[in-house]
Amino acid sequence: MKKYLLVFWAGILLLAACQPGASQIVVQDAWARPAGAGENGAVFLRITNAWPDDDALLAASSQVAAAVEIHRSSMQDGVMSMTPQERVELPSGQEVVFAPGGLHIMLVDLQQDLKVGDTFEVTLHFENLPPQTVTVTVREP
Amino acid sequence: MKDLSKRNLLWGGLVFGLIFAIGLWQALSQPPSFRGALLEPLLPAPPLQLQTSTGEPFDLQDYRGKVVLIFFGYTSCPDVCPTTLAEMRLLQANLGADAADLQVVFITVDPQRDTPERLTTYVQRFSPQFLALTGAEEALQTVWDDYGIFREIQEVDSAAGYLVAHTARVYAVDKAGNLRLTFAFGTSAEDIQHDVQILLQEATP
Repeated sequence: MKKYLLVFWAGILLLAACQPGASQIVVQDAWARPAGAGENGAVFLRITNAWPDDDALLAASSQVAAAVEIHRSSMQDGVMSMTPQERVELPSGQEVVFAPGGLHIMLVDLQQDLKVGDTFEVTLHFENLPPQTVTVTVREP
Repeated sequence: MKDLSKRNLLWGGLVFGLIFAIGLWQALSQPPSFRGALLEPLLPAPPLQLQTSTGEPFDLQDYRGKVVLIFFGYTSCPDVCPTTLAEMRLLQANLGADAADLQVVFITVDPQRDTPERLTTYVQRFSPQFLALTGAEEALQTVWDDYGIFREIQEVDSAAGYLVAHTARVYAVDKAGNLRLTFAFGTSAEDIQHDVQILLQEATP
């Protein structure tokens, strides 16, 4: 009986230890358009902060591009411009959508072709929570 | 009894036919309603003489009888330009055989960095039928001005170097060579297709 109790508590401890890094930030539907080496690409996704505290996305990194930046496209009087974002707020309990014509992770100077069906990794760096690596699928929208 | 039902049928048919005729007349007498922004008054599209990225001369005048969709952008643009070109590809695919009378044209707003090779690779990724146009900066400036394209180089803190803010509308030139419609960024593929189909059905002048 004691043995079982020990296993039980060990299990609880293990669960607790796993808690940080378990999905407090949930990233869904990460995709990129096809693009060629030497061009710029864009990654779109949905980030939900399921953590009780607010957080912010500060940067992203990936092997597939010379540089990775967070940008926001915005439209004013029919003119589209892009602005680099130093941080994107991730309020607790809310979903932030990176979608065409708005927020996107810009892959500057792709080091490889991105073809439909390819997958690659992008690591998201947050202000408080540990970085999270997500798999991005290349597809047509 | 037999006569009565025959007569009823006759009257019913007449009434139905009349209603149908009125409906048809109303539908035909009304100008087609477009979902994009209609440019009024109707004016010929400004002259457009540039070079294709594969080195051939391009003159919009040679495209009478075709519907031409024009979009201004640049190849370093990762979001809005590919989004629009992907929509154009979808439109072309959805139109099927009707797309034979459609020409999609991409005009650079960044001639400094958009070499002909880059432009060709960029547009051909979407469709081998699409044309990318470039030219001397002065010739391009005239086209940008004539089409009311706002274009501004933005020096920003980005590894991509500068970015270019630009008008992100699609312009539709009809078969008669008139600048007919514009579609704002984000207009659905269905709405664009609806309008382009109307333009494609018009007679060639």
